[in-house]
Amino acid sequence: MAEPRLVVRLKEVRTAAGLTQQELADRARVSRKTVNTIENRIFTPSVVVALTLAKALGVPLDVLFELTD
Amino acid sequence: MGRATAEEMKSRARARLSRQRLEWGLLACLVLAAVILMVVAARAPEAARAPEAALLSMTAVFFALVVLGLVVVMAFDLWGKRQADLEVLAGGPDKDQVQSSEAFGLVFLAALGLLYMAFGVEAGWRIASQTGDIDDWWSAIFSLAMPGVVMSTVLSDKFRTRQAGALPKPADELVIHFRRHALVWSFRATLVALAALYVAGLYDGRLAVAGAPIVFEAAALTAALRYWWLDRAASHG
Repeated sequence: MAEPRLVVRLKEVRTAAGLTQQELADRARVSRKTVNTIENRIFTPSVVVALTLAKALGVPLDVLFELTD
Repeated sequence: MGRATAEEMKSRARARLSRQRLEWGLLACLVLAAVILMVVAARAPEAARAPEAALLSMTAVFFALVVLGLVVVMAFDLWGKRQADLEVLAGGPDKDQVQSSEAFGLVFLAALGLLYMAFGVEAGWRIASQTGDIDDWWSAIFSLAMPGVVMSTVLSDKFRTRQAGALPKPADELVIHFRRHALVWSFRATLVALAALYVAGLYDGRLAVAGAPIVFEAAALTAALRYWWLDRAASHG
């Protein structure tokens, strides 16, 4: 069985919402670096931060993050 | 938060900033005094050529180093308060900037630790050779101070708040991630340094004692540099 892969669509959803990294960071009350590192796959957030970002963007969690085979 | 409260906070921040100018001046005087003491103490034994003069000058150098170390710690605290007040005046804290200044602060402290390490190694060698005096004991023990400060920051799960008098907040998730990576690198560096120290100790037991500050400094410097590097990488993009 292949290893599941995490797909991160934060950047696509954020730009579609017309937000900058800083604006999203302010909405979600995280640092801009947190948003940047998640978008660049440097850092995988916890469920709490992932849910916070989804809530700030007004989308379900699985739109932002998805596990694929 | 009401408009009056925000204005009140700005006015308090302005007052604190003006008070801090005096504190900066006092710190500068302390640095100047410590440097003068160090220069005079370093030249004294050459002039006097007496064992008592050498002991006195070593004590003076040690005292000057302690003062310089305390000034650095106080300067960082003051700098943090200044940043917090400037942020209040600018309208809100910039979390990214605060994180970056913490990363830079760690590297600065770890780099300063190199100086203390050099004194510690020298003192450790004399102690291991049975020729050390009380100043050597102080130097050897004091060489652990900077690595201690750096490592306690990296090991902490708290984020040091820059607001004067405020309690430390739980660290940002990304900061914890950086600290974890910095610790892993630090652990690797410690193992390598310990292995080298072990081999050196097999050759000459005194090297194992004298080289111990290098292990602590290697751990702290690696952690600080790795943390700073990760923070720098996160800032771009």
